[in-house]
Amino acid sequence: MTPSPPKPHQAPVTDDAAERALRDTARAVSSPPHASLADRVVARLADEPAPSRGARVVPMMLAAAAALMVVAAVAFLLAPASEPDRIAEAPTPANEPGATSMPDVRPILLASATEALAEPIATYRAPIDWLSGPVARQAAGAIELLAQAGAAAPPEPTPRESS
Amino acid sequence: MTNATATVVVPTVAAPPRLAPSADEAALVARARAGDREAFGDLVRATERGVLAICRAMVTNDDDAEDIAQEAYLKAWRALGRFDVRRPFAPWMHRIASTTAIDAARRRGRRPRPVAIDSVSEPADANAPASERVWLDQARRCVAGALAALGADVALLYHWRYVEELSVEEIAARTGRRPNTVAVALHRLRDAVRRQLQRQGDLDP
Repeated sequence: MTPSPPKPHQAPVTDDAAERALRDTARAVSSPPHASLADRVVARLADEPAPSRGARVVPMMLAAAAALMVVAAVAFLLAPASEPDRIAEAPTPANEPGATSMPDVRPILLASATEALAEPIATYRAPIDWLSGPVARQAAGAIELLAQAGAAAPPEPTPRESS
Repeated sequence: MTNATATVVVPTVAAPPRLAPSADEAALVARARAGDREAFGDLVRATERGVLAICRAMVTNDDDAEDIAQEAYLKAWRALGRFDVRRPFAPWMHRIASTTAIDAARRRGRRPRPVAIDSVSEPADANAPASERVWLDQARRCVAGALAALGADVALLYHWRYVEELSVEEIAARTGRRPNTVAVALHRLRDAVRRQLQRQGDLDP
């Protein structure tokens, strides 16, 4: 009859025992695989598309687009609150009869900014499924900000003379 | 009290870490990035032993470890476009394996627990005494628990230090960290394993 296995550790456990556990484990896990993984991995790759080589470029494009969106959104939000009134009230040649008024660039800005962001997202959506981090959040936030700004802004500045 | 740096044992095998890929490896990576699955298979053959060791260290069950290793390789294939071709492939693959295995281990909630002799799955030596087999199984579970608690970075340090037997300085060169930082991290790992063993001993009848 074999003796029962000794209790592996009596308190306290020493650093030497921990070191031995680490080394024994390393030896145990270092044995070669029963069969090569390569064939199984290659077989599973049959259903996988080829790696995307443009993947490194996409985050940079999206980051640039998102940064552009943020700048555009800030400019867009700041401009309507002050610029039309200031222009209308200021005694500048723009208010004089016959003078041409300053064009409202907000719709152009909104359209170009949205277009700039929509294209890379639409084109690279499939290869960037992994991109759910800060860049994507930043881009989504910028779009939301622009949408809110577009909804809140008046479509056309009302001339002061008509009121 | 043992000093953190003083407990680091000088490795018996000092394989220098490669900081750049070999020409053959670079060619395989280039072909794989172009969609050549057989070339990727060759990269798998070159790295599978280390990748499996990382996975086995963290999940203890060898069948689960092989599944996780396959998953890690699939992740690597999908991310190959983002791989920096100026770097060697193996450390990059080790990192993917480490994070994949850590996630799997945490998902499965594996923790060290008392084991019976007939539950010991992979004895290193079938002729080893039963007490040795129990000890090895317990050691693996404690190491797995400690690695799961400390995360993928420490798991990588463990692999390079204890499986590849790199020195602290070599690991520091590979990771870009200071040797003292590596030594402290290894000390924390050893301490975590000690506490796991302590807890295991307290649980034993």
